[in-house]
Amino acid sequence: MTDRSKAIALIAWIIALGGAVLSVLAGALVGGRAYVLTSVLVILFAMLPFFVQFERRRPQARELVVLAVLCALGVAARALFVWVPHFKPMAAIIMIAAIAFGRSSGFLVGAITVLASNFIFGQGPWTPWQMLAFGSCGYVFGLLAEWGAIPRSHLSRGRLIATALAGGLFIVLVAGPILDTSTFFYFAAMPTPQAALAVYLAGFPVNCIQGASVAIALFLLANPLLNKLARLRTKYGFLA
Amino acid sequence: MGPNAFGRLHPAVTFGFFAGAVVLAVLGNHPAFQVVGLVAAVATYLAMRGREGLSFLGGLLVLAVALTLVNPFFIPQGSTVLFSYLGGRPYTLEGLLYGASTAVMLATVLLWFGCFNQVMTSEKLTFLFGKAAPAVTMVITMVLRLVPLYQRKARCISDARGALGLSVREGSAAQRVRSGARDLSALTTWGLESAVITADSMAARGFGTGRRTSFARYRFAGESAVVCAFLAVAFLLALTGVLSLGTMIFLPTVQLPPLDARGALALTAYALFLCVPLAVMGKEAVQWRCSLSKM
Repeated sequence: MTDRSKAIALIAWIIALGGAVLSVLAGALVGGRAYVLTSVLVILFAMLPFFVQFERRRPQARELVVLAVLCALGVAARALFVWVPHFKPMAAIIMIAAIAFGRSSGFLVGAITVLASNFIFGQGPWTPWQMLAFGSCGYVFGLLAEWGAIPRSHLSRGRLIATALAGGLFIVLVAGPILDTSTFFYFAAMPTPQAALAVYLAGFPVNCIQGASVAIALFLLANPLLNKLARLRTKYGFLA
Repeated sequence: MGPNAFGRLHPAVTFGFFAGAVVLAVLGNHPAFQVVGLVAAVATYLAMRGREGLSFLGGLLVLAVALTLVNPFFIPQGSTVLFSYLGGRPYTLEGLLYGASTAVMLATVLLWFGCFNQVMTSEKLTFLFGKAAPAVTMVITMVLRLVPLYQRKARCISDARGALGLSVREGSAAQRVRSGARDLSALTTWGLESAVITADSMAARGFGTGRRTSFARYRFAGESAVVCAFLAVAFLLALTGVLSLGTMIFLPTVQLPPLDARGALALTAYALFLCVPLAVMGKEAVQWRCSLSKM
């Protein structure tokens, strides 16, 4: 990163943090159900730096098109698996894109995939929460790949199984509960611990099914797709 | 009467209306405000969807009733006990009312989002945010174009593989998933290779050398400007009223903040704010009738 883009990133993070703190304060002042709006504002501010950095980088045509292809594959994959009930490979494709291209591209693929798919299936109060949940899938797996915990392509049998399990676990422990939190905020009259417990317990089986389907999808898709993306990188030399 | 008249206003005005309607629906928890919000949302939704909207309303009703009935199980602090269960945990009237209030809020917000999805097409949103976030908008535009293309291509691939006896529609679940993964892999190869060709073609035509221009029919003038000014004033009046009215207290007993003159003014402003889409659509319907009768 150059000094200029570092400075921009810093400013974006300061604005995001300030905005989040301000919305929490405003929510606390107003009281009542203002926390519902506050939560959405905090999420939007948290996602702001990723989008600012992406815009500021002035990405080239190739980068934009490949990003769009990865997002579109996530949405279109649903059409390929309509014959298999409960099998939605979207999160797995987001994780694979993140492993190949790193955490910031991974976050963008996750957030934009759900945003775009909601243009087709309908936007709702759940949109920011979904963007956060799937964006975090991309961010964490991109980070794991950047640390070298997951190789960029040609995963060995052991690494493949570990990656698949990590993907399933991440859905059950992080992404699923984020979506359950939105259910909790919108459905519970009063945010009590008992109501939270009930919502998370009710969501657990669903998250387990989703997690299992993501693990299976990662196991089957990770190597073929990662090898293709690696080949694309060597052939055309971009998005390294 | 379709969603067209309201949708023909400048996208910033329509977007601002929905944002304001949702914010006021969440913040205003006085029953009078909630009733006004719900009635306006139902009327606008039905005006936009016609008979097709009834099934969504039915679904919302079931959801709202379920929410109302379930919420008291998590709010034991109310004072009027209706019955007790599980060795003395109370199920209270106050909890029920609190649940109903939440259910009405959620139903109102979901209805406004239903209207939003009718009016705010993706092309309007990309028009609105295209200047602030050109790269993200570009990606979203491309995704929306690629999804139907990939779905068609995916069908071609799976039909071709089906002819070879490798169909996704037959065999055990494991076989189907594995076959689907092969299809997706083929789709990925094709998609990525054509992406590079597209990108090179874009670069060759000068993508990224200057500001992107876009074709848009929207002009911020005339009706849009008038409606926008009206919405802004009504929103501010309603918001200050909602904030000064104070929040409603449900526990341990229901305490209704009295609706004073200022509150009544805010309520009127709220009602007028929410009537704007109906008024715009109604005006056009009347004009259409008049023009027909003159012929």
